[in-house]
Amino acid sequence: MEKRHFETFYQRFFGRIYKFVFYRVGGNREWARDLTQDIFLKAFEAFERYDPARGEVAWIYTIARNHISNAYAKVRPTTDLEEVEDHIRVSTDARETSVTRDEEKRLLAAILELPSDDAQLISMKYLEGWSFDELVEILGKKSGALRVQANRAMKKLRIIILAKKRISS
Amino acid sequence: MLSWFLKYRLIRIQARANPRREDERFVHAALEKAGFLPARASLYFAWRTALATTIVAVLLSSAAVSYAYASDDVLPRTPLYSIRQTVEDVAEQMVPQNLKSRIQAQNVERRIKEAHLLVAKKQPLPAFHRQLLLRPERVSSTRALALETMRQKREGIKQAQASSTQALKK
Repeated sequence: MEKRHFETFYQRFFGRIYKFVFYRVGGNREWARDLTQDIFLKAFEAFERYDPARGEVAWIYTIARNHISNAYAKVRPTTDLEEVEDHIRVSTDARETSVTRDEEKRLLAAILELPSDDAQLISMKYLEGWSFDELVEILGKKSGALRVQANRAMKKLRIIILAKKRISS
Repeated sequence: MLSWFLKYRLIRIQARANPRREDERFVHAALEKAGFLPARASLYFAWRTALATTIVAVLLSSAAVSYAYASDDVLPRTPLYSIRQTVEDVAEQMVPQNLKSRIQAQNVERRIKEAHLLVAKKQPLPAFHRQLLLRPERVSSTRALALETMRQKREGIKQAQASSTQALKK
């Protein structure tokens, strides 16, 4: 793809890639923007080699995911990379009080209790804002199947939250 | 918990994760510095310049308007005098009907004051100012009405003063 199209590409994906990174670095904005910057720098360098037939969503998502895995491997070599890729981490940063509100914390914790496929789908769809069409490209599944899976995952999430409420009360 | 409510809460969490303006600027600046994105600074700078220019223009014009309206140095045939006339006209148009005569009377008082200042500075009087000093009855009907209002007001003050003086004498 020609580099002159990069600006459009950047504007289209900046927000979602930032959010994708944000949840994977525990809501640390500084780290999120550093990693987002690196991801787009990498994307630009590889932009001419990018094959449009593969789908730009899946392409940038792969770059982002690999970059985060590498970043975690550098910081904490013992971290299970798959866990980092698939799970949302709850913020421990005191400044990010908005993200760590109790109710939201419980909701995010409940997502982590879902099977990893469902947790990934729910977080990508509802926390990161990818559309079903984009998720088809990223996850390589059919749109109908993803919608059904999302629906079932939401039901499971609801059950987990209700169960937790019952235990706490 | 309803599924739509759950979705709403998730989307609210999503909104909090949106990049802030400074995050967006930071990443854009880095990509711009690397030559990967075209300079947006020029547009930003142009926007800021336009804003600053507008603010300065508004401040200067408001200062000029205040000066033109209030200063004794602004007299007929000075550059700011037209601003004073415009402000007076606008004020006259904007006030409610019952206050219009008071504004007109104030304007006539200002004209009389201007006329006296022009005489003191030995400058030629414009036609209206001359008429106002020499033959106030020939001033247009609106101004005459204003003059009448003003005259009544003055008489009222004089009467009040006289009665209060008499009351003091007694």
